This record gives sequence, structure tokens and C-alpha cells, in this order.
Amino acid sequence: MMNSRAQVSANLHRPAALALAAALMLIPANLLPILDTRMAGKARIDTIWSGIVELYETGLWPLAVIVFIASLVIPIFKLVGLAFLFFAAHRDAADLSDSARRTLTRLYAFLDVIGRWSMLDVFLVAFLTGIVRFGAPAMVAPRIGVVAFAAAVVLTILATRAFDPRLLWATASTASAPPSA
Amino acid sequence: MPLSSDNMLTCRLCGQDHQAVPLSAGETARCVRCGARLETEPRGHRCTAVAFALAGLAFAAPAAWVPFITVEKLGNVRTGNFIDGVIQLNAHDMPFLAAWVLICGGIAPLLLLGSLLISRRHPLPAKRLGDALVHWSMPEVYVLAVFVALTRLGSIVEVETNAGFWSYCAMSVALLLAWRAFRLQPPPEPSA
Ligand SMILES: [Zn+2]
Repeated sequence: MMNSRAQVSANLHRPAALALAAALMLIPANLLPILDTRMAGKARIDTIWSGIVELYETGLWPLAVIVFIASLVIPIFKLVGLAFLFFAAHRDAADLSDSARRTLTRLYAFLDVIGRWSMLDVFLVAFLTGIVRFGAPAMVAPRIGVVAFAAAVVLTILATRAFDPRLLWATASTASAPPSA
Repeated sequence: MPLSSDNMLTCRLCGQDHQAVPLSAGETARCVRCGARLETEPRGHRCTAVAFALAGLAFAAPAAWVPFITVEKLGNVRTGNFIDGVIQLNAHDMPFLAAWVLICGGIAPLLLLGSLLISRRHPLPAKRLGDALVHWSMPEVYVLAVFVALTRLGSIVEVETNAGFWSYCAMSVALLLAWRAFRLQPPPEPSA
């Protein structure tokens, strides 16, 4: 059984370190270009954000919304959510009510499910690079930012896997009822 | 009250132990503490997961070799599929990124389909393999990425969708259905 608070914080070291590394990786991921495009007589170098703006400005706003959610909202929401869970497990696990523990457990399950969708931009760059290679008239090339972004996604997934949601319940009393049907 | 361990269900999210109670088909047992799903009484046949896995593997071959899309630009025609993207990332000095895309979009889904294929005869190794692979298997995200790429390219150049992409879509749907059927399948008969 994991009961002592010292044990709880020891179990948080690895997921917290991975999440911190992921957060640091998001900085170059968003500042550096991810894609180099030469098409239809125009050359442009895009970051994650400028790619979203370009989709919006060419009238493809539903795509802009999808990429915005996958590349910006999900990674940031996921890291903020994880940090919130770590603090809850570390600081006030003993004072949490059962309904608060339940909400936090649901948050963990939700964060676990949505993380994969942030791979969208990485796959997009990979696919475009594979298809648009006409030499001088039209070509697409990946830039280093996409590597940083992929690293941030991997580290976030590893941080989520490393966190044991049972830590949120480590100091809770054990219920002794049969499962509800 | 002492309980035999075969009769216990432990919640994967909060660690709460429960005594198993009989359920009727389609009924779901939820954790008393956190509300997570513990188990759903199966409705399907034990072969459903294997059938979907076979279908998925059948679509995997054209998904790997047939072009996804054809693009025309100034009389030049290019086709591209999943593998081309991986090869080009590697050619642009991004071997780790190429490997990561290959794993999430190709290898992990294939291995997951393979482990579901043996899930009838070897349910326990299949479950262990599946739980490890499912977080890295993301073909449905790749499908969305291709849709975004198609729409974006379609506004600039002539784009045609080919059978490879539809095969890849079918493979990822079959994989989702197989994984779902596997999680809902009846427990293995005791062998010893
Ligand atoms: Zn639970």
C-alpha cells in the first residue's frame, strides 16, 4: 500500500520531470519553423501559429480550428492539467473529498485520451513532405521545429503514463461496497 | 470477509478492490469510488476481435503500397503514401522523427492488429501487448492529417484521392473495432 506522503512525492518525481521537459520543448516547438513551402510561385516558412493563420486566411477556417485545437490547445491543456494533478496528489491528497478525487481521476482519464491528437501537425508535415516534391516549382520540406514539437508530444505521453492516478487515492479510506451496476 | 482473488476486480484508476457480481449482457460495472468502468458483460462472440483484426491486416497491404493521393503540378504527376512521408523525413536528416511517424502510424497499429489476431488463443499475452501498444498506435490521427493535407493542397493544385488512402482508413476503423471487441469479449476459459 502507498500511504505515506513521502512515498507519494517520490512517485511524482519521474512524471513531473518528464512534464517539465515537455513544457521546455514546447518553447522551441512554437518559436522555430516547422515547414518550408514553395508552391504556386510563393515561398513561405511556417511556424505552428503561422500555419494556423494561413489556413484561416485562405478561408479554410474549419481546418484552422482543428489544427489550433490539436497543436496548441491540447498540448498546453494537457500539461496544465498534469501539473494540477501533481499538485493535488502532492499537497492536499489527505484533505481531498471523495468527489474532488473523482473529478481529478476523470481529468486524468480525459488527458490520457486526448494526447494522441496533438500528433496531427507532425503527421501533416510528414505527409506533405512525402507528396509535394516537384523540385523547384513546388516542394515542401520539414524544419527543425517539428522535431521539437514531436519531442514535446512524446514527453507529454510518457509523463502521463508515468503518473499513477492511484496516488490521488493513496490517503483515502477504502470503500467496501460491491460495484454499482 | 476474506475473498478469493479470482473474484476481485481492482480499479485501474484508483486501486479500489471490488467483489465481482454477476452482470447481464451489455451491463457495465463501475467503480464505487471513482466511477471508472471496471468491466462490461460481453455481448459479442469471442471471434469478433479476430475477424476485425484479420480485416485490418488485409487492408494494411494496399495501405502500405498503393498511393494515397496523386498531385498534378505543371504537367508533373506525383503520388505519395504513408511510406513516402517516412522516407522523405529521413532524407531531410530527421531519422528520429521518421522512426516516430513510422511507429505511430504503421508499426504499432500492425503489431496491435497482430496481437488481436492471437487474442482468442492467447488472451493474456494479447492483453499485455495491446495495453502497451495502444498508446502509440495512432492511425486515426494520421487519417485526419491526410484529410487536412488534401483540403489544403486541393486549394492550390490538382489532387486526386487513391485506393491506398481508403485502405488505410479501413485499416484504422477495423483496428478500433477489433480493440473494442477485444475489450468486451468473454473472459478466457480457465486452462488449468
Ligand atoms: Zn476507481
